[in-house]
Amino acid sequence: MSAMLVQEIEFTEEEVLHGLQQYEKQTHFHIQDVIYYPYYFFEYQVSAKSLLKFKGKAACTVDALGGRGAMVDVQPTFFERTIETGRVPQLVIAEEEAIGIAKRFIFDNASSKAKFVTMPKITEIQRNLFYRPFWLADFTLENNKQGQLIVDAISGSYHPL
Amino acid sequence: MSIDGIIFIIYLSVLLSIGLWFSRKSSASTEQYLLGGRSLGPAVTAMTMQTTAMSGFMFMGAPAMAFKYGWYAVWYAIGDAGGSIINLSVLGKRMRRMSEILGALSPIEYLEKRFESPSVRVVGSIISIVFLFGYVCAQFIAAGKAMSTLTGFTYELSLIIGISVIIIYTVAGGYLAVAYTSFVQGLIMVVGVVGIGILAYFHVGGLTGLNGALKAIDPTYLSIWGKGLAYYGQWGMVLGAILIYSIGYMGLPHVVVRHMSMKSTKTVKGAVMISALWNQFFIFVPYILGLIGIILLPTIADPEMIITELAYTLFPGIFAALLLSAIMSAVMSTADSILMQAGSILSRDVYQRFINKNASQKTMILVSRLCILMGGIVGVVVAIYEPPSVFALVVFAFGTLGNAFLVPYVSSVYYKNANYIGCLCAMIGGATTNIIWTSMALETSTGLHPFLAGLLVSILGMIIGSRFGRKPSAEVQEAFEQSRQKRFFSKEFDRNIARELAPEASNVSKFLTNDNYFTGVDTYERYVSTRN
Repeated sequence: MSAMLVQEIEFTEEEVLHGLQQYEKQTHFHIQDVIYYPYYFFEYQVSAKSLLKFKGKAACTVDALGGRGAMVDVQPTFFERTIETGRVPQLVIAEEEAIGIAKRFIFDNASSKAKFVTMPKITEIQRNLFYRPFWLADFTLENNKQGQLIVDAISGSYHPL
Repeated sequence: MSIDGIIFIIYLSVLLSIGLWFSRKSSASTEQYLLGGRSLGPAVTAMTMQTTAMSGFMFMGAPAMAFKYGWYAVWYAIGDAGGSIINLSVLGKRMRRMSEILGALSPIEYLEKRFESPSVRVVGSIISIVFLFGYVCAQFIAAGKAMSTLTGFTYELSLIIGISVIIIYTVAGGYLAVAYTSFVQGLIMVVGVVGIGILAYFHVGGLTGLNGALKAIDPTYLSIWGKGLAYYGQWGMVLGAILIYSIGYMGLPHVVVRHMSMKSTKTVKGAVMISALWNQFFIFVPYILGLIGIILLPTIADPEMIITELAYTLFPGIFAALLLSAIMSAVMSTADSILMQAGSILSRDVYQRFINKNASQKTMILVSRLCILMGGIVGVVVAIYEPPSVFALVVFAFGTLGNAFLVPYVSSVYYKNANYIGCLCAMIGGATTNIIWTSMALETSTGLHPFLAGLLVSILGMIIGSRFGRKPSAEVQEAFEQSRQKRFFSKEFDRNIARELAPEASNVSKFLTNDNYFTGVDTYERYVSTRN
């Protein structure tokens, strides 16, 4: 099995359980597994003629399962790891398709936020496929109802399935 | 040029320098990305969100409304303040559940997915443009008035100078510069408006003194039916006033940009908290200042200038000019953001979809900028030749939005057979009725607020329209049933669910049901081998 580019887990299993339990005291949570969710990462040099010259870097990710773009705030650090435990979903969005999505996404965002008068020049600097860890948690409510949720292991944010 | 005009110019130069200095400093660091904008910290992020939301309506329209009608105007503020509460508690639960299931992030995307038709998005976008246009006009009028007070020039000349100066200023600054200058502006406005509020409030002897003085002038100022009991017994008008903002917000054409934070961060929640508190506080203050204006400035020629006049009455001239400069540039910053948004909606949802499907990005940006230019010119012409009041324009704009979107939203979770034809009829029927009702002033003859008239037509449109066309798919019907089930988590847990993870959650669900655990590693290996 080859090593894959991943982001390191920041919120450990214990921290996640503690966080969830804080709001939901009566519910029983159990971490079932970790899912490595695939994203494409794109970094661009953006330059445009405004009244003053504008030059800067911009980066975004494209969800490799659903094809949705997201802006990125700071330079991410990826690590090469061999995934031994956890689940890795199959890619749905091919790289070629992701390139188009990313370019359109960054372009739309740049032209509306940075208020360019002319066409911005967007040059790709870096491109990677990386995996972001999500904890998959089971929960059992007081009335014995069961369900699942995912917890982003980097930001700690969660969403039920 | 008056001394105030000179202060305004100095103010703009100082702000621009601050903005550019910070931008240079920030972009010098390669760690942070320029357009992500999340590395600004919670205070700057919150202020930036707020100064964009602060508009000419808040500083001019709201006090003028209170000046004209007395306490009746506060109905609008109640709707405004309660908007988010209604969204969350009445419709919210089911809608949120449904949008989680459908993986939708913005309100318009939600409607498109629920009613399974891209035409819903196109019609929704076009209606949003009407709203945006009305809103921009209101900003222009407000800017012209503020500029005229500052420079002493005529309103028309001030309008043109003001718009030119601020557009150049914001375009020159770029995003980061605007973000940092918004922070400084936000601070000046908080200090200014809170200062005026406190001074004026004690000047009239608090709430008791205010009401006593209002009663002495005309007791009907205290009535819930408006001065002179203008809307006596007309619950239709009151209901319309409350609902207009609560619902109108849901149709706002949010362009939701997703962010992914690459480091574990807790700053974002702080920003949302700050702006939520700020919102609740600032919604009521302009209305109260309008009421105070009835007592302190009974002969004011233009009630939309109450806050300005109060600033000059209560503060030294230089600070008043500074405050007005901040208001003016915040107003224009809102206007140009709205124009940018309208431009991209028109180019993407109308031009690319209907006129030129293969439009290049270069063409798209050209079309978008041309739309902005045309919108701007028309806006200026309307603002000069037919200037309606800022308040009337904003109420009209919100009314159109609310009428277009309320019924589709409610039906999406309460009416299983509601389909895209019903949704289109409701949106078009509701918005058109509001426009006709307002432009022909039918409320005087019928006693029915334009918003309520639009609502009735919209409901009919949904019921009749949904009898035609294809039925909602099995997938949507299933989502409908699921959204009816009660949410079982505690309120706090529920509130903290990260909505932006909805698409990921929906994809993970699909992946888990397929039961293909490790197959992704093979696709990764294939990916690596093709790259090599």
